[in-house]
Amino acid sequence: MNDRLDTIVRDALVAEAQRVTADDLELLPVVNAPATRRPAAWMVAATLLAMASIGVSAALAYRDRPSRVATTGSTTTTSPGSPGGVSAFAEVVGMPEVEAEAGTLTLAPASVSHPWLTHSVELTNRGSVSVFVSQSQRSVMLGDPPSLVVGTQYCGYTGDGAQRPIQAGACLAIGRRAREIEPGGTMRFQLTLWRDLAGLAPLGDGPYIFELPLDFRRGTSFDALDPQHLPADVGHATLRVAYTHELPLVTFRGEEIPYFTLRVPASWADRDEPGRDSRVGGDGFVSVTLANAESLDEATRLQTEHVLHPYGGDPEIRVSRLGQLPARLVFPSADAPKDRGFQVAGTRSVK
Amino acid sequence: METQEARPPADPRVETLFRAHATTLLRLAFLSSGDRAVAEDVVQEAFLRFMDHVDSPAPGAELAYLRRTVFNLLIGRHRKVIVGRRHLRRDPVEAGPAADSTAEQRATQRRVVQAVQRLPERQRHCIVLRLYGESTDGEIAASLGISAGSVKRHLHRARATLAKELEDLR
Repeated sequence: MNDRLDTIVRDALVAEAQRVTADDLELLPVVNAPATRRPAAWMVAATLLAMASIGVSAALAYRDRPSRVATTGSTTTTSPGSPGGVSAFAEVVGMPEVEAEAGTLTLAPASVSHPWLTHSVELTNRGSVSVFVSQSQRSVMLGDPPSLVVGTQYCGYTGDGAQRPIQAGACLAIGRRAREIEPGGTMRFQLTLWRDLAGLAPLGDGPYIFELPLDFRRGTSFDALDPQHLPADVGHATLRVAYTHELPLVTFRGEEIPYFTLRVPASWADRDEPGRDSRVGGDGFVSVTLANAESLDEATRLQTEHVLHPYGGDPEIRVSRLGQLPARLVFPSADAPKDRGFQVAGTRSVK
Repeated sequence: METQEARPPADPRVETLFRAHATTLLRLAFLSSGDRAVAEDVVQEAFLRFMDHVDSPAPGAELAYLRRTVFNLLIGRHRKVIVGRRHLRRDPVEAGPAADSTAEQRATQRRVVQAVQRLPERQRHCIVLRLYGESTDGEIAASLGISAGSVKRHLHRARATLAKELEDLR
């Protein structure tokens, strides 16, 4: 029966899929530089400049976060309903009658450990028999290199990142007692996330998978004060929580300077500047201006050889392309003035 | 002043991948989301992320990476973020009906597709990847970031729902 059903559904999906092709899609790279991916010391900038008699220029800058230790809400990647641009998906593996659901991520209450986010996990028993579940305590570092610490209640990390490296796995010694989940009932517990601790790498997109061992027995309770002394008929399952992280970006369209779009962090605000389009955030900025030059290289030279030497005395110029157009990228030399933010400039011809 | 050649943002490898897989990924995203605009956005976003990816996927693993990114983007909140980022697309072309479908066939197909689109998100993604994408449990699991056991469970539930809704067609 399933084969017949599969055939019907497959045929319908194949027919439906014929309605769309990628022929009208175009692969156009755009300026997009999430702060977490940039290796610059504390600020990187890119400038687009013009060729011929008129053109467009833009500056795009990112700055590393000013603090090495996160406090709640210090991230710049917040988005409505999902602090930090993080979403979580939970599932239980090895206990088929139990479904898991990750609760809404919220900023964690401030504490000495500087937690970032917290959320609940709810286990629901869809079976017809009570299930007794003992949840272990665990905290782990996730990512390669590690960039996120996730832990259950009473678990966190040790170290300060300076004298002692950050290490996960620190948990208070709390006895584990199985909790009953009646048919249709739920069991809830809390997970906490830390990021930006000293020594942790910047948070990338993920996914970051947190796994938590669960012991369970159907019908009767059990104590699990010591995992070595679990009854023989206790089953073992795993709660898996997948975290994905996305820097919310929005399209930034020219108003003063038409005919350009850039993607910028959603948190960046409009800065009203005559003759240019700007978006500014706590972690960087983008600024677009018009410039006149006889050629792309001339436009680049005007920028790099400006009397203020914004890119230092010996910047590196790379020939590149942005979108379908020729471009120049300018990387500052070591003597670039810090108050100019170690800007990296780029020039792009426009017509 | 030193001048040197930099790698262009859209390297030939990406261009090749785009030409080879964009339509397949677009159709998977379209069937999974029911929204052509969202599908186009997530596919382009997936390729942009591929280009931005610091540690490029190993040769042969590119499609798996792109497919996983597409479905990550389709899940829940990401879809809302993606909407509105349609600046990369040329003038959108509305999807039209398949040329060789009769009205009756088309009506039946729409009904089946709508039944698929009413499935819960995970079940819908699993059934699309299995029946349209012809993916194995392991490949679906890798694309969705879940276990193979969960894939089986989602497929079982999806089939049960579809069997009930499409009983008269079987």
